[in-house]
Amino acid sequence: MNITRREFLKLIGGGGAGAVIFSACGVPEEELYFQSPNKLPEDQVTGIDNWYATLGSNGEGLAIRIMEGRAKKVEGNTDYPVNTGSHSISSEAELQMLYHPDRIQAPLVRKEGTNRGAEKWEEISWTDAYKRIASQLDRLGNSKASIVSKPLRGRTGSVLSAFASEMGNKEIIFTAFDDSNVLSALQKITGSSNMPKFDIAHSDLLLNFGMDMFNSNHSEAMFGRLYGQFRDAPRGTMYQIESRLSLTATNADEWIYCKPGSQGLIASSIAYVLISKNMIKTDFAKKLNIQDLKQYSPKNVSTITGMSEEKIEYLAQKLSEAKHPLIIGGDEASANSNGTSSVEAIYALNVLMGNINKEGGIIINPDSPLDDLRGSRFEGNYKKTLDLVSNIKSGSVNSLFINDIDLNYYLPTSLDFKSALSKLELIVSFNSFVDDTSKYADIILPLNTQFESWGNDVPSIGPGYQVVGFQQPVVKSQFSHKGKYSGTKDLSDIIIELSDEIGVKNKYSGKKIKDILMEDAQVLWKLNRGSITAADFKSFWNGVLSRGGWWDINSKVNNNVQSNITNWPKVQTLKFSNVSGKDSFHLVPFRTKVGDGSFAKSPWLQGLTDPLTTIAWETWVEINYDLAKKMKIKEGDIIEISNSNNESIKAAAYPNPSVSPEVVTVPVGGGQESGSYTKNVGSNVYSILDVQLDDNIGTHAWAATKVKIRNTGNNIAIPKFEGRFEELKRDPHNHVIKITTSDSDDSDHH
Amino acid sequence: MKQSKWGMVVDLDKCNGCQACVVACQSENNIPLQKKSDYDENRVIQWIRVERYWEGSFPDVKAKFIPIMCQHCDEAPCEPVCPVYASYHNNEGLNVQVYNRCIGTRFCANNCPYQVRFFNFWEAEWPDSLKNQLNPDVTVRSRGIMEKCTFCVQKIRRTKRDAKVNGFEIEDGAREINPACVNSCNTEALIFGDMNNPESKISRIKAKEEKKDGRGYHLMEHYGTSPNVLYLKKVDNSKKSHSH
Amino acid sequence: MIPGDYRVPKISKKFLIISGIGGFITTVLIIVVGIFVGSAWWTQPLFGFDEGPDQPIAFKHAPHVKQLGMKCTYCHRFGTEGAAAAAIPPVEFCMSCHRIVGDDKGEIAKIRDTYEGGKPIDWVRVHRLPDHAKFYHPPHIKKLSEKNNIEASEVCSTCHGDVASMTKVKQVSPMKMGWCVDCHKANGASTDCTTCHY
Repeated sequence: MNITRREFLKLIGGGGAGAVIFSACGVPEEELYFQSPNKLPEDQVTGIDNWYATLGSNGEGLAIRIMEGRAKKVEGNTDYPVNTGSHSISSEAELQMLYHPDRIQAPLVRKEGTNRGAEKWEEISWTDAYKRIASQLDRLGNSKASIVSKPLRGRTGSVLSAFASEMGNKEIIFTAFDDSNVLSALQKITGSSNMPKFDIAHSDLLLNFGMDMFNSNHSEAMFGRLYGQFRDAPRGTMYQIESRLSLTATNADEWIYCKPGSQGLIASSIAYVLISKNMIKTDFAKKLNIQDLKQYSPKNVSTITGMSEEKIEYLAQKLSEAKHPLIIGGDEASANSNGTSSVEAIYALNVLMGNINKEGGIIINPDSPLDDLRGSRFEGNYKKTLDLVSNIKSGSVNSLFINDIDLNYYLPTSLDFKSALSKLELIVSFNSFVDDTSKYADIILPLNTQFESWGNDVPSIGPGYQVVGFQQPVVKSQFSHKGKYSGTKDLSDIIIELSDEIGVKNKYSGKKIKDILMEDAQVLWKLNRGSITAADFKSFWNGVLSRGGWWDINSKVNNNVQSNITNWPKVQTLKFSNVSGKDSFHLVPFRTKVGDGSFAKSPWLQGLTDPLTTIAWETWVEINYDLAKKMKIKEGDIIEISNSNNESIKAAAYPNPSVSPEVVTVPVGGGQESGSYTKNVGSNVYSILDVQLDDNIGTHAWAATKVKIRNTGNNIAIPKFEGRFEELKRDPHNHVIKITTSDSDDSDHH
Repeated sequence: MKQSKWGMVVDLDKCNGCQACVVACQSENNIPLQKKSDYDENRVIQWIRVERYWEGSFPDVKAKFIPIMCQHCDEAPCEPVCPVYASYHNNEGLNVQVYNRCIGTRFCANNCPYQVRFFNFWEAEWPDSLKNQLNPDVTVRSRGIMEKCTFCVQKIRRTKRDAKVNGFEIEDGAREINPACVNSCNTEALIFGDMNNPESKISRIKAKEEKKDGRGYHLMEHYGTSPNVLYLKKVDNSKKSHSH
Repeated sequence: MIPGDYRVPKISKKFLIISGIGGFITTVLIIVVGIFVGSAWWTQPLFGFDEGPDQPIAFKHAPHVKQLGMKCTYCHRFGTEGAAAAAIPPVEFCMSCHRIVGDDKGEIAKIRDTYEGGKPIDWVRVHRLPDHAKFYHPPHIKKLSEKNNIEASEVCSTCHGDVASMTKVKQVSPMKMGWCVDCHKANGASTDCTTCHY
């Protein structure tokens, strides 16, 4: 049967005309016309617009509006189970990544006779680039090469791993905000190696230890959707325990300050109250020995955590009253030397409440239907990265492949990565842009951006059933007019072609990423279940691409999950660098609209105001309002922040009422040295973070830095939206309404 | 066919301040890039913005968000002051800015209590490659004219036209007609619809929340602007256990 | 005559003739330019507008339409398929016939070269509306074909004239706002500003 895409779409899309209009269309390859250039706005011809399904870099299912071969607008794919129609700002910004003026258009080689970092490039052909790399590796030896990459999704990650294992298994994944310890804790608690779904939507009490859901590695839109449903009647109550008023914390019904790194103690203390007062009767509660928990009694921990005894008891009370309590944690709570043990204690509370794999609890995600493709994750290896730096310095690594990770920007100054780079004999960078690391490369192999690439993805946080998302190019590669031997390519295709040239073989050799994805789709097709079933593979493939993926809502994990833990996890003591004195603070870096800094290239996101401070185009340091007054720090004063190594950055002060007097907070993303929208914008807080590791699994304890601050006396006008208009007088009694809940009549705390 | 009257509901209890609406609006409506100098000169253009209000101080502190866009007032203060009728009300309840009529007196912006009208002090500029992203359905505004939220009238027009040509009924809450901000809203805090259709979601919310004990209110109602955007108050059931 | 009295200098005949002719030419020029600008402002230029612009590929409508009997909407199908502009079809579309049809000379060779090079053709735009005026073909085609009981492909000439007999395509209707509004009023279409301006 010969079936056209449109007919097919009607068949599977069913229903009303609206559905057909909006549902994403199939394979866009034949419709990728790129017509005459547009010099004037009116030259933009409104052609037939189609919506094509693909995936965003954070795993959201997207529908992209394409007109005349140009991508115009991003919207969430309503069908895709992760984000169900919404999308986060970074997905929209992918449009600007696609059409970014700074993009590398062809393989670049450093001009002969110029120094590294001089940024004098010469365009070469792909074949030439591969040959040069192969001949250099011949000389330097495959065994002395190392590969460092950002976390990759789906099959692209497998291709890189396969290549790395051929080269002697020297793949290092680096990510600035690492989820490794949350994953390892969850694995212990749930017995499943998949990140579980947090069923926030159906829980009535959410106790969140520091997880900044709305500035996340994972899909923010997914958390947003869950949060929106959480607020629907019956309205859930949310408590956030964090040392910083994050965007998530301010949306909680109550933000409770705790000292940095003390979340594990609080969780354990809540457990102690629950058990000692006999508030819960789950199996795990009966198994636990109260003597083990005694050290965490509210009395013992209240000074260390900065949280009052009553508050801990109050939270325990609330938990015991709730029908569907859910306890989650991560980010800042996991980013200290005791991170893993803290997070274990936090998630152990879920076992204590007996809500594993229950509605409104922690829902286990089933394994992926593709045997060798597990869920995408934000797992990095900071320890290995540190080893890499010392190996480069000692000479045991002499060539480095860097995939789209700006190590020179992310690593602290104290590691001196720049001088390590200069020791290398060959630096090959895979990147779409020249960033602070790739500018030191010898050869840059340009990558297609998200919307030009093939890929698939098993969501990092699945919806509780099996999902495989498929990513297709929705526009022709921007520089395809440069011909077959120039322009940009998919990472997987580059790796496969390069390994061919080097002479290493694996199961992907000789294939294109599209073929590999079709093999994956074959497997799914043969399962003959789920969202798409078809008589022939061609229709199945079309269906998978037009709907953005395959999923099976019946593939839930139904059996009772037995937790692996028998004892209460021991929360380790905290380690900090030795900075003390009146002007010493705890430094908490945080992600903002530009993510971990990788989206700072987008002028939309740079020009977007930070929700809490309304600042754009600047790095600021938040400091307590009253304390700043005492220290004679005004808004816009340039503050020098220095760590125990006396490395320092400068940032503009933004005193505000939300910060604890013990803490200063600085957003990441500023201080990049390359790029037309990133150069000279703010300063780089990564550069002063201490190299403090998690004691258990060696992730970076990025929230464990202590700093001193000093007012330099200079003052700038902070570019911000706030203060642009006069604030109108408010009626304090009429602003919010108090609703009567069961807890509002017990006024004994007054 | 019954005349539509477009309106929006903003549920402040759900708004989490993620700003997806702001970026979606910039992308859909060809809003110029916000440069650092625009912030310095207070000339930032954001058709929808998320305002933040601090409440309390550490440790009992919270920031609350209100997304503010053109309220499409029935009694719009911006309309009578325009000497060239560039700002007028159409029969679908939209407050319309006609770019080709506008001569840039900025009277309307001065008269708008919501501060949602923006003046193009400079010609909007994009690098050539970024121009590929510009939406051909929306005029690129030139220097010297006012602009503001249109409720994505281009999508309303397009969908109505398609409905007429292809003969289908426009569903309530259809994504083709929803403004970009509504489609992008992560928490579904923004709801758009036809207020003349009693069956629509927005009409039902209006009927429920505009009652005496409902959560509905309009921004600066006392000015008598009768806006078509209904805000639902934030619910605050936090118990301040540390108040003594 | 008093000595020192002002005396009108004698103007040479030659100067008079030259300035007379010069003045005449200037006056005519001003009038001509005035008429051109005025006519272009209100409707269409009165003269100098007999032919359309040169195109990178000298496409001829006549053989396609008159000899082969192809309909406008065969190639300019986007207009009836829901797009705003009927637009020139992409090169790929031309090639669906010209892969086989036609000799390898002249204009056909050009289009084959472009196709193989994968480059877009820089067509010179003939019908250009300002950015702030949005025009969509489908509703107009539908309305006029229903009203006059003609096929969709026959509606085109209402505004675009007899393109088939033009060697270089030119604009025949003024495409000014007044022209649009007159027709809208005559057909009972909406004249709300947001119908076209947004």
